[in-house]
Amino acid sequence: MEAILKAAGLKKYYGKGEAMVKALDGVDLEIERGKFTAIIGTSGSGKSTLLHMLGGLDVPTAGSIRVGNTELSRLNSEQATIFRRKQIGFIFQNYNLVPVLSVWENIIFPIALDGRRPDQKFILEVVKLLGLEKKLDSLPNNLSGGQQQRVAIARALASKPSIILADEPTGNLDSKTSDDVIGLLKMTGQEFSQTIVMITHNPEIARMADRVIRIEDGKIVSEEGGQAR
Amino acid sequence: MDIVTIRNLKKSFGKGESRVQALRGIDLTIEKGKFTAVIGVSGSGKTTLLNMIGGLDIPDEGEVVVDGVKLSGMKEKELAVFRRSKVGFVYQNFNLVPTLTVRENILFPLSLAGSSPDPVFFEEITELLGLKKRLDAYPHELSGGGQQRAAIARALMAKPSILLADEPTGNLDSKNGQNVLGLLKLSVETYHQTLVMITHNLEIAQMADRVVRIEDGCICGQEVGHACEF
Amino acid sequence: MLANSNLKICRILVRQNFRFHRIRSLLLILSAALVTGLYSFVFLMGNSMEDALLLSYEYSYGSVSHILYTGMTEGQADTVAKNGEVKSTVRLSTIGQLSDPMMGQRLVKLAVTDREYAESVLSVPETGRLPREKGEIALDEFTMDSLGVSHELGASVSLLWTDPQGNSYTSDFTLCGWWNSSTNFTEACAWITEEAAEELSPGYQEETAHNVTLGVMLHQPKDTEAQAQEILDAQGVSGVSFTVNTAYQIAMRERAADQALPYYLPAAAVLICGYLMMYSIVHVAAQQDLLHFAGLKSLGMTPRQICHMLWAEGCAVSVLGLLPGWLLGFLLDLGITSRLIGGMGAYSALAFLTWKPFVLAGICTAATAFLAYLRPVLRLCRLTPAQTIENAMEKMPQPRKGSDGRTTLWTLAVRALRQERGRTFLSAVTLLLAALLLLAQWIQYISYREDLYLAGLSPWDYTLADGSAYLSMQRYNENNQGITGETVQELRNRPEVVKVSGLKSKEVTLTASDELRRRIVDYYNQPYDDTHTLRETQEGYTDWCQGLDRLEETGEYTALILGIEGDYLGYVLENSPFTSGSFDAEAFASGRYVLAGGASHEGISSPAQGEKAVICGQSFEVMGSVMHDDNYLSGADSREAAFHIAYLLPAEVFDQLFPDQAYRQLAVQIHPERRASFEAYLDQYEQQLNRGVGITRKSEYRESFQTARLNSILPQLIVGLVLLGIAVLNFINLLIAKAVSRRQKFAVYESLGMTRAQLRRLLLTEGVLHGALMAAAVSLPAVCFARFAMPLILERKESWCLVYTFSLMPLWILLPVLLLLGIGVPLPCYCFLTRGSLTERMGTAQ
Repeated sequence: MEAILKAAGLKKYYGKGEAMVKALDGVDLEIERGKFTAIIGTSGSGKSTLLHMLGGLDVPTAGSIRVGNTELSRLNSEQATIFRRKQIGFIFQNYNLVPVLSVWENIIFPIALDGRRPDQKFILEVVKLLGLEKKLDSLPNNLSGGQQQRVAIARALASKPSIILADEPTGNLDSKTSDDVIGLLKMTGQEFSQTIVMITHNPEIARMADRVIRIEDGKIVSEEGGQAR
Repeated sequence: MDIVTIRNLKKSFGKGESRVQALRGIDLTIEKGKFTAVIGVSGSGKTTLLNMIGGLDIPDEGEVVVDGVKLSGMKEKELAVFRRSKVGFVYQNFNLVPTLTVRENILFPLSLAGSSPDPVFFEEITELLGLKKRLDAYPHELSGGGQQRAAIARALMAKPSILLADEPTGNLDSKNGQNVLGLLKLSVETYHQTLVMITHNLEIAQMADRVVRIEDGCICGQEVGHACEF
Repeated sequence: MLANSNLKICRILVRQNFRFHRIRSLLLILSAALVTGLYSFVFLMGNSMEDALLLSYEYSYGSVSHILYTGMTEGQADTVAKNGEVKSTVRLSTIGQLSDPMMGQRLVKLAVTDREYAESVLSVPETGRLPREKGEIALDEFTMDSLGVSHELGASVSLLWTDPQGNSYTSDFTLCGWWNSSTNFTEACAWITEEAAEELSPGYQEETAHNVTLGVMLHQPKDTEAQAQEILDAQGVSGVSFTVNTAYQIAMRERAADQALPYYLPAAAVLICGYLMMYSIVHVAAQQDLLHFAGLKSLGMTPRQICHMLWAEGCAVSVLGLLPGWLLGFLLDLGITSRLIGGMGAYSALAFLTWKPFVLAGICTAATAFLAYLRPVLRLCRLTPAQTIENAMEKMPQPRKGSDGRTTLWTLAVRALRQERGRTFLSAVTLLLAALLLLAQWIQYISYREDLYLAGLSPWDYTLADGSAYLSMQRYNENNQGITGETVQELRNRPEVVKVSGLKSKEVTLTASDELRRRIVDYYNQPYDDTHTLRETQEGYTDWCQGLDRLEETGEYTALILGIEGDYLGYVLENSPFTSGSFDAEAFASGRYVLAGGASHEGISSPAQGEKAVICGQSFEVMGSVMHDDNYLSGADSREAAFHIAYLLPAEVFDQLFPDQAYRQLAVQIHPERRASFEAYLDQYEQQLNRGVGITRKSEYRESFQTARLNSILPQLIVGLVLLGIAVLNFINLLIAKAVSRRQKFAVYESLGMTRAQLRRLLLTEGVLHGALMAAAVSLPAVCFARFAMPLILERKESWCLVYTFSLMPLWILLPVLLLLGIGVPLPCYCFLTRGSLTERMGTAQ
């Protein structure tokens, strides 16, 4: 299988001198198209940083990242942004909803930014699956944490990106919804041959992945196939 | 002897549809001088529980007694005095005062109380936590581990009745985390402190005298930790 | 791969942002409105000033026409009137000019009545009417007074006039009307009927007679000089001379623009303060919203879209602020410009109102907003989302060594001062700018000294001058009997009057001794610099030079004999330094001595002490010679007297020499508390007279001084006050933002055991410290500015009634306000900070 994501010699350091933190310290990684990869590791191990780097949200101190045939470091910030919003769907740990926009507006926001027409039918299906159909006109601040998280997931799915990067997407959901969401992710992943990279604390979810990567102190310490395989 | 007694503790946040029941009736006692680990997934209510014990929040229902002090019904001022004399906090994000040096940060609760620090104890603690050389630095000049050690020193300095730690190693890499944890445990043992710690890390939980598991606002399991058993 | 980036979504976000951050948006719109208002005000004021100056040039030209053709035939006038560039014409048939020597420098045409033309030069009788009968004439008051014509309908008028060929005639008329107009200082018309004109100058109406004056209004006056010639060429008219209204020449427009420039200058202050005001809001908002922006960026908002979003916000803010801003500017203009442009009442602001200043103000506001948004936009566009989040984190202060580790509230507060230094600095700079601007205006205001001005321009409460000596353009008519001995007696008997001092003057021709002649001529022949002699430096003054030539050739010169008493004598002694001899009051009163004043101000060109002077056959000894400061004289003297030697005699001696001479002017001092009744008396006195008398009031000078003094600072004062308002708002905003943004931190303090009382004290200490810091930041530079810079600034104004006076009054008001704000603002913040539970505020609640 071809690799859709390819990171080589990835390093990211923060701070200076004694306070310097090596968030990523030489990561080499290839992720195949259409696969579901889970990243596990303790807090502070660098997994969020890795996810940000893979998605082009931050610039690495050293190393290169290729998404498909595109070398991210070659793009200027304008191009990188456009590339990102077309190719990658993010699910942030803190949801990152736009507080001044309604739920519906939030869901189609990346598509609107791109000036495309949203696929209403598909999005409504996603919305229904996530149980948000009655909340479309609400503002994010009026939703519970779990609902906000579902909005964030709907947003990431709405633009049918080829890669979905998720940072603990089920952290605030009860176990039933959590299972549904992962199921949905897997299902859409298969339908649109999406690649999913997910950070999780939950060993059960990790077990559902095709592949599990463990990160410790900014380095990949082990890789294993998930149970799904 | 029990230093913390909790009875039928309930707490909820928010209103209407977005209302969340964080604690749904908790009964718990904590023994003096013991290390208790609280585990549970995010959102299970463990932080809320810790805040209740530390007098940071007021329960909707139920009773919290810490070191003979009944927290329910206390005024804000009394709570403030309670916090600075009885409780030492160690937060995940350190919560050091960025405008104060490490020394000033460690002595901050004492300064607030207007009491004089015990210089010998100060020497001891800073020695123990390896902060001696960095006392005049500002927090941001320290590594995460250094900052957390400063926060631990601060929590211990007032010789509190109970030490509350909310994922103290959550923002640290594993090496620093181990180091900080070791020091925390060492200082607790040295000064016979009671420690209640929230953690995700099962390995850490295994170091505790007792592990309390919380799920959906209820205590769903208690086990005696390995440190005690084996 | 680059597809269309949707910009509509940016506008939606802007709209939503406005709805969600109401207070911030309102503040922004308010500031935009203020900026627009100030710009509109400044531009409107400058524009009105420019137009008012042009209008005053028109007035001083004596006609509102753009071009005046003279010496035309009727046929030529008709041809010219048909030219396409000509909008309208008025015409006048003149038969000559008044050539009475008493006319002084004024030019008065004897012309056939034409009501339209009379209106175009504002010369229509206010008393009586235009002539209808053959022997009638209508005149302006200045001409009447110069000629000594009494202010009575039916009075007889005897005129000496000269026709275009240079022949002089004397003709008699009866007065049928007169007017007093502000445009007749230099030029006027004397209206007669057609029949009279036909009789006086037979054939004046013939086609071939070149006596038509044609006033032409153009459609588009540009280079009027060239246009005038072009029209003549185009119509094939030649042998016609013309003058153009200088007000429409490019040079005059430039001059008007130059003179109006100071009124445009506050625009610079508006730009600075507007920028600071908007920047501080935008910048703070951007800082607070960094996380928000980081989120938007990570969702795929490109730098271009973020740019567009912020620009769109800037534009929206400017546009929304436009209408209220224009209104504000217009109201300010209405209130203030009317004050600045004297003599036009409340109409001046409306009269000169055009759309251009409003448009300009709008553009300038947009530009200011653009500048204010520029830096935040650039910054946000450069950063990656992760860097943006990093940037949102707080900047830590510089490390500091040595402390026992005990923290007091005081140390905490001092450390807090070091945070957000950029904003604090910005706030301090705005405050400082406002303080300096106000201080400068205040010091300038108190440095304009009324006493100096009045002592110079109107040393006496009232000056009553003969009607022919009211204007400086008028020649004093020695034959006039306007102010007589009875008048003086009557005035002296008034209970209000303290003192009346009289002045009489007479021009006589004297012959200088050879010695005096040589001395004066030699003096003026000496070199002034490498290339010029003193005489040559005076070449511009033809009359003066002719007088000197006459002295050199014949020894004859004009002597101005002045009989003075009381205050006039006092004025001369005080303001004219002696170049020889000294004053002896007793000897002067004896009548045997005179004081001599030189032809120029140096005092050499006059007889010196001990020399003899023979006046009207009577011999006097010169007591001393003075550098004669003759500013106290009303009106002008004859052209020959441009070069004169003044002889000052006691009034009684003058009366013996020239027994029937009336007064040229009187200086009247009154009891200040009885001014009202004296004014009433003067009104009644003026009305009962049948001839002109020019009354100059000290109170008018005082009022005009006070108005001018206030007006000179008013534009900057208003800008300064607005700037101060902004600066104070900014400071309050800073205090609030600093407290509120640390809500989480204060919760941590509380969790560590800080009591509410301690928190309150901490906030208070911080507030006081901020107030003190601002006060220090403002006062030190302000004091230096007032002490060292202001004297230089005032010196450059080169005004003789300006004496630098040190004062810090605005500062004394501002400083307590700052401290009070420091104490008063944190308290409401405290309420906000302690609302909600501790865990909620610490952000740990779920």
